[in-house]
Amino acid sequence: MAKSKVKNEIRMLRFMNDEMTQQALAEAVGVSRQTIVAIEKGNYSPSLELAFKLARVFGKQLDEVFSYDDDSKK
Amino acid sequence: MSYQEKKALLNLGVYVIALLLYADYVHTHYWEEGMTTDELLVFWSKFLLITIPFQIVIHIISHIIINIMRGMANGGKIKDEVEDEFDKIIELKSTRNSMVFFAICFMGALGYLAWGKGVNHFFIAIVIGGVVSEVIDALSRVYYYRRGV
Repeated sequence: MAKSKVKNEIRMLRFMNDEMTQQALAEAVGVSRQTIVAIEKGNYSPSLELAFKLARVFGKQLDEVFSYDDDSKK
Repeated sequence: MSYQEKKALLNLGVYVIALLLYADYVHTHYWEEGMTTDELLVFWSKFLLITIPFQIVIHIISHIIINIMRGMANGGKIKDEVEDEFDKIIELKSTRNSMVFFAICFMGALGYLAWGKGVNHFFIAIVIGGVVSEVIDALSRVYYYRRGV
């Protein structure tokens, strides 16, 4: 399965938020820990709704959490 | 291995074991050598018609077993199972894979009939196709949970 082109800063943001656990983040946005693991690893691009929820938990804008890494533009 | 992967594999194990036991029971008690085509059609139709609710019951039992094991692992507390968008996408993709395989098996089974191989071959191909499609469903889930979608 190809890695997602949508990159994210969730791991770093968790660290900046008192080393928030994946489980705590998962509970805050209403998904399973497995889903957070998959998003962090870049194995899954979340829906817009989930992406907004994640950004809101960290008090950030969407583009501060997620970015689109398109190699063809370079 | 995550909870979802264990769940998929446990579901598969329980399903295959239960189906083998059921098939052995039916074969021992109801199978007769030298049945006519009409009798074979009745036999296989009953087998498949009973298999469908049987399969549903087995899935419910396996769900209960999983929840008991989960409760034991969490010290008696049963947390609500969260099914999110990631789980739903994986379920859709796994079901697609297994259905595509089953459709191919069904066409193969029809091929047996068309080539005059007899009713037994047709139904055996259907049953094997059903079991293997369940295997594909479970393995697809494990694959997607590990590698992503």
